[in-house]
Amino acid sequence: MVELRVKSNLCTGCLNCQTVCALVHLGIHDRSASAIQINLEFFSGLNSVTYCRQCEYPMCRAVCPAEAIFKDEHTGAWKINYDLCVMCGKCISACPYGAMFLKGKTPLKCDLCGGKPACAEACAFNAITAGER
Amino acid sequence: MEYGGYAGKLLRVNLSTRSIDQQNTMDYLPDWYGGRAMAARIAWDEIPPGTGAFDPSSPLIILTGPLSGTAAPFSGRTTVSGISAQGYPVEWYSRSSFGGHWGPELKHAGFDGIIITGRAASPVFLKIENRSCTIEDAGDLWGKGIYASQKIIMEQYGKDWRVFSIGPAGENKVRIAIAATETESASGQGGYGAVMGSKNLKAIAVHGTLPLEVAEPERFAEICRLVRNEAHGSHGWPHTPKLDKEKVKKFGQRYQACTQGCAVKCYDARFYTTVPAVLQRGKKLSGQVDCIAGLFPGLQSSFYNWKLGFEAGFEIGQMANDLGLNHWEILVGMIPWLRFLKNDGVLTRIDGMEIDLDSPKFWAFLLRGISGREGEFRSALSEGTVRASKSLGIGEDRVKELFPAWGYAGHWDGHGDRINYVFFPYWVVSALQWAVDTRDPISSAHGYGQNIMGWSRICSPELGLDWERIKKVSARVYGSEACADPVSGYTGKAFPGWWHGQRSVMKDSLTVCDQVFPRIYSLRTEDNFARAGNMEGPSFERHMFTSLTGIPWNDKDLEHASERVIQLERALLVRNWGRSRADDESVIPYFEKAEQQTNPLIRKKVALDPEKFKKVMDEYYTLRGWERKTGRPTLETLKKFTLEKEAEELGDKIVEKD
Repeated sequence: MVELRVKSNLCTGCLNCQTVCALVHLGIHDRSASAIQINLEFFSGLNSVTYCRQCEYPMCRAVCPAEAIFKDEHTGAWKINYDLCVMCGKCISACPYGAMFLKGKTPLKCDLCGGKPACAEACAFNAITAGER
Repeated sequence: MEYGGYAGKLLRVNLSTRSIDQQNTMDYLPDWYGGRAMAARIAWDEIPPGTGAFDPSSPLIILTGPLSGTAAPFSGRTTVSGISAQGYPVEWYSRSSFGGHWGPELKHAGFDGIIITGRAASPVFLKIENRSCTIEDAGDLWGKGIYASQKIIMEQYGKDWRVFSIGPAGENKVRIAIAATETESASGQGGYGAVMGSKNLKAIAVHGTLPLEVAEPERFAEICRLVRNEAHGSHGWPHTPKLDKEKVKKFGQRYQACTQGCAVKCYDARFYTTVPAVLQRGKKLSGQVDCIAGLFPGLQSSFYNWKLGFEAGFEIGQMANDLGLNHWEILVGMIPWLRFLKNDGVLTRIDGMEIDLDSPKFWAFLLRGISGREGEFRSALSEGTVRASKSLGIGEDRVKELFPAWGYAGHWDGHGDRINYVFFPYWVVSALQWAVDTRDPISSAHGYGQNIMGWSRICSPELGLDWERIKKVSARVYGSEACADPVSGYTGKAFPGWWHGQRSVMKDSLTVCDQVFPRIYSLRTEDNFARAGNMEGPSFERHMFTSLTGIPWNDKDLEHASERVIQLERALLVRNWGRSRADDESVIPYFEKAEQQTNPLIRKKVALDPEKFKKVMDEYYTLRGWERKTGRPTLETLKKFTLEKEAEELGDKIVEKD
């Protein structure tokens, strides 16, 4: 079981986490199609990271009318079964962390990359790390 | 789009006619593969002889490259090209670049770059979003600082918009005006802020959510991972710099990427979250301090020994950013020049105020006056120190000590720039780079002098490499140990000048950070030559480029395409400005004075030997395929680079072969 550990105060705003997330999942370059989002603060310098906590009782799953969100028992990640997803967007507004994103009509959610999160691997400043839960 | 990495369109805006067109990026691919390379092609085709920086027809060419803002590490930069307002003795074609997050956003908005001509009837800004562009009124923004302009636009359109803006200096066509984004990412050198101002163009705001294709996603991701990891913790020096504990506590010092994709703890980039203002008492300031901006407070026991102190120095640095003034010119050129004049007893006051470099009030008076063209002396300085010295008839000898050429203050040259530590024979390569360029060449050519000095035990006593190691790595990269040998004199100096020439083009065209690439030295390999996976350090850029774009080039192809840019730029300079060897040699007197630092293996200060240097220039011209007598590309060379049509236009200005 894996979890992301995030220290926003260490985030330098390089966005490597976002670019690799879209690259490894979708094979494209699209920052807005990343399941982790950096909120850049150019003038205060205090960036923040919006990321999925893989909640014990996830609201995204609770509100999903299609029961499309299921647990990967190996990593502990909640994942979307896109064959079942009806693209209603309820999960987006239900997430208390704002950590589910829409790309077009498609919901995006962190799946912990099968246990080796690419965002954590790409973060040179330890703002995002991955560890055993 | 046929190739990965590109957005696919170029935006063409004529502010006089308010016309907005889109051109296919493919028109320039793959040959002119991005950034500086594409700009050279556009400049040759579209800048006729006689065009001045402030002519409405003068194009301002802002381009990203294929790697810009992708998962390629250190890739967030954008290049700015066109006729330079800072250029001296003539305004000629040159270039600049900036970091931040603006260029990547432009690509997501569907454009690889923007070419702007004309002059708006009144102040405007460009609003660009997902393949659309409109010209908006900037009446409310005019007169505002670079920070305020960004904040106003971001408040109106959203926090995720990125804004590239000028300040009052650019509006007033100050020749040392920058255009910038965020708090410290500036197109600093070249005076392109003034070019924007001359077009009545205050800012360019962008936002985009369009995806970019990747030719080989898995291979590209793996190469990026390897390159990112190899480059951790070093960028021209072997050790990793740490934060200053006291400044962390007092001023909230932290690492902040000066450009998207940065993955190193860099020497050059620090953010401060809470710095008490000195002039604006009661205020707390925040902002980035990159590179030379660290010099604003002054240094102890050295040439730059003014005593502003950290807080006031920070405030003045941020003020310069906001007004839109070029830090390098101010700190390495203008202020040392004023300091000389004061110490020489030539000048004690300017525009009624005593020159006091320890007083933040004096700095504010100086910078505000320059950006607003106030007072006789500060108005003169608005033209840059070199032009000011001439028009005022004051301190011209001192200018010659601080400004090697082309209107730019010294940089890694061992003479006027005393902040960067480089001794003979390494600055011979700097002299060569200065000789053949149109601007301060070092901003995209740190790879030689800075790399060797930084990796030597002189600058890095604990982790640095001994000279034998450096020579051996040098032999791999440059073909000869003499190219980096500390006692090799003038031998082997032309080749690094030649090689780093095309490497600079590569960085400014792909685009990637100059401080990181090319990867040469390493602590992670037995022979200290940088490698990752089965890639050699100097090939990293090419591997990222090919796996992203699908353009099937090998190392030689990319080098050839990059050198072709140098040939076309030189041909443009010959055609439009009659550039010749005599111009190149005009840098020699600057280097004929004794150097600032001393090579411990030579134990005396060395000055440039003009005759020996001219032989190095001969060697360089031969490597480039330029006629040694005139320094111009030969017909044979232009043919080799398939520039026959361009050669035809040059007519009898060039010879068949040397």
